[in-house]
Amino acid sequence: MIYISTFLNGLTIAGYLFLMALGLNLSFGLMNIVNMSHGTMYLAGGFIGWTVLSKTGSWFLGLLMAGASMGVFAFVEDLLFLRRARGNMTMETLITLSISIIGADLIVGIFSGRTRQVKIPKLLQGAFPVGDFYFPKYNLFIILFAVFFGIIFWFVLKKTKIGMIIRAGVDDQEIVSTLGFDIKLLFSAIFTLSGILAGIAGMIGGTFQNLVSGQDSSVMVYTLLIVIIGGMGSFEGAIFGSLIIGMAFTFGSLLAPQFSQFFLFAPVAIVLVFSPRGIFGKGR
Amino acid sequence: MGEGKMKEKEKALVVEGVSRSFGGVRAVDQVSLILDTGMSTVMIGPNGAGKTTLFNLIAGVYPLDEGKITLFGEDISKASIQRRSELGLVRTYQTCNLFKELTVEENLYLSLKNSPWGASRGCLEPFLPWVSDKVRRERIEEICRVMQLEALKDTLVLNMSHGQQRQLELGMAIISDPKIILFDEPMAGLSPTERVFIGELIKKLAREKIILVIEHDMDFAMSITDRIAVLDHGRLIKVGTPQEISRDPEVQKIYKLHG
Amino acid sequence: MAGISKNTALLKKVCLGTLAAVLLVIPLFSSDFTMTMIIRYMYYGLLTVSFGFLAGELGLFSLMTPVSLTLTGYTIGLCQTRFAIPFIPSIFLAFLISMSFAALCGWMANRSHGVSFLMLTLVFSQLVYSLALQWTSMTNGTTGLLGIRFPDAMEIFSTNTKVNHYYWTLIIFSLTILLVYLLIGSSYGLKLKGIKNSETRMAALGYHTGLLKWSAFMVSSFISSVAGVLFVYNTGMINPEIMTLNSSNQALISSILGGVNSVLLGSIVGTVINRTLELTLGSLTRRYATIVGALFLAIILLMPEGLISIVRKLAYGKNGTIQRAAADTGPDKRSASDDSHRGTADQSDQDPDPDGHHRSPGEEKGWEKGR
Repeated sequence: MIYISTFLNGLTIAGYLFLMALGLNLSFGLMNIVNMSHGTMYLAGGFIGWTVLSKTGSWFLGLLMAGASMGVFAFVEDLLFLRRARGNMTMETLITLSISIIGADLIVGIFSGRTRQVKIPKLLQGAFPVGDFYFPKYNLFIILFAVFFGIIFWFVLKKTKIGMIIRAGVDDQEIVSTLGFDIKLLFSAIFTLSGILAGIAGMIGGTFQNLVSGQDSSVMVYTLLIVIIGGMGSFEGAIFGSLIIGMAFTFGSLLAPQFSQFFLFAPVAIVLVFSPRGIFGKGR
Repeated sequence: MGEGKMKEKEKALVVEGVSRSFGGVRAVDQVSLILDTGMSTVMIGPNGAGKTTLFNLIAGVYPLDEGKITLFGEDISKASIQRRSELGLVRTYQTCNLFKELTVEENLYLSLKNSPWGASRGCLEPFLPWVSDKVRRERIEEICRVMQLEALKDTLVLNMSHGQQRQLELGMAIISDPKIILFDEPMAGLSPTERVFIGELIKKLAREKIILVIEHDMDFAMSITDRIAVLDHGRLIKVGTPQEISRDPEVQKIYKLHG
Repeated sequence: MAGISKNTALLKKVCLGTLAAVLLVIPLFSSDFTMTMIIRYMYYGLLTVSFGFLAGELGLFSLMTPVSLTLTGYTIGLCQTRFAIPFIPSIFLAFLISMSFAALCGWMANRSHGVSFLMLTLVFSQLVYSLALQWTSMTNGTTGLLGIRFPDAMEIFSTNTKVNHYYWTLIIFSLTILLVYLLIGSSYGLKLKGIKNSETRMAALGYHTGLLKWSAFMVSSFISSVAGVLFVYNTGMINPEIMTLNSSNQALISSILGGVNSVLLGSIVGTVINRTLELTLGSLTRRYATIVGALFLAIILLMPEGLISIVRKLAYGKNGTIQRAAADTGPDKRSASDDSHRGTADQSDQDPDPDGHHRSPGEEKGWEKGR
């Protein structure tokens, strides 16, 4: 029975990490940069959501603000800095790294380094009985939320014209400009979208666990693990990668608490040895 | 087309029925070609005919889908890029692929691998300054003289003009005294005076070594050698002398079609 | 022109000689604090050199430079505090362990290029970090290992522990720098620069690029391991703090502050500046990381060749008598992607030349391009 609850917990973690991985993957696939400030956006989004919640009392307004503020943040980051280095991926990545350094320090300065627990909204408190244990409503919410986003993204990516352009851009950026599409605009939009996703994930994750300074880098690392396992720039990869990491996380903590972190890296090593580009990574 | 049947092991480079597809498009389709001493060849064909792809297949950039390539009797169909280079195969690039942040001298130095001058100086090599490498530097001086690059020896490639870069590209191809050189459009984007200089050099090389040149300019192609291969849609249409080529109805059709 | 470059060479020698003399006599009339600071500059400097060697010579940005440092540090610490293994064997064991791990990571990381390399090295470093943090029965978790002592038998320069430490550190530091200096100036260093510029061409010329990249990774790890030995004996402790993401970032920041393409001088100048800033700003404000981060961002955007480029301009004049110096400060901000098809983003952005083939000279930035 404990395995079922561990499994469901793993699914929950996979849920909000999926939102992170999706954003990172989109920006990586299209712009070919690793957004090192993605974890910072997670934590900042979480703290902003927490602040809104404690001021207004509305969790959903907090969620909205977390997403919106990080969307604006990402948009400004792209506009002010990344555009100046477009085309030089190493430099763009270093810029996001510097933003993450500044961001991490400012988060401590503004929100203090203390641990914050975001309260679960009234609507989602309580739990369902599943067999002989209780499964929290909120966990179910996270899973459904992630599935909902997954379906929307799947639909947009695979069925709409804009999705077709994005997928084409992941394969070959040249195609986007030949299709007569403004690549600058597309990059901005995707980067903003990944920021929104990170902010939302921060609020959801902060409610599920907690928020504490330093979490930006650990969440960043989990997200990177997902992206590496699944394959960079792959939508399917983000799903499978987050499931694997979610399960490795919870089952690792259950079976070998002393090495739970280490357990996370084992699947990555295995994937890297046999398929350096990840399970769904496209060879180039 | 009859060349494939000759099957002579002693030939320098034998390409037999080589094919390669990219996403359903047959870029190179059942090409057979023999190169040997005195058989320097110019390859012509419209854009997208698969000339550069064939080069990449011979040099080992992509694996073959089917077919076989033999270099001096050794089957290199699955050999690494490095092995092909060891056997004396050298290529140039159509787009500039020089070491841009390095000087002319350093570019030439790096090109000396797998040459009589490239012998390693033992396990101490990583600790000896490369500037003190007398044997190699004499060879570099020699090539700089031949290529008229003496004044530019300490210039970084990224500060050089396009013509100078092409000169260096050629110098890097010949410095290791290779047996076979593949030239990918050596004359592209050159000024008339530069064309004369490089053209003369390639003509001289065509007599001394085995070369395969991709070239668009028919007149220049005919002045280099009298063996011309025509490629279209990945297939080798015809190999022969300029007269045979210009009389061939299929070749005429292609060139009429493509203007 | 020849006269000027001869003068600069002489100037360089004089500067280096003076610096060496000053470093040698410092213990005679300075406080323990100054010596501690210089020792810190030296081992952190080596850490930055370890990063800079890969970044400057090969164009690969690694976030796992402190890993080898940590592994040697922990091995030495464990050998001494838990297993009572003597000094010399423990050093050997430390290098064996850190280099074996580096060999494995180098093999895996070298299958990727550019940006993915950065990401993989971050993951490897986090792996070691989490092991050091969670394997508490062995590593004491966040506390780490304390009380690691430099053996008394090694007190040959002075009976004063600090002075003795200082000279040992200076010797090992200088030898390592010399080693790197030789490597960079040799044909080996040239080959690495060749790979940085065009890996495909190097392979076509017959070089085994994978092996060369792996060996460079090993050299970088070796330098970091040396820094680890210096670190653990000078501080007398080792804990996971040294290999957090922040610590990896510090090596990267130092290198870029100084000038990423100047492997030795840039790294050391960058380290001195970065560590001095850390100390002085740290006492003034609690938000010094923001200031350092902003400085880092400004350097990336405005001065990609680092602070060394200012010194170069002063030494060689504004128009750059020496051509390499001129090239280092190329005017254009864009970079051409050499052999990949990924250079399209910048083309559609600003490139007036539709096929992007004939780029004007001098537009390269010092960085590793694209992927």
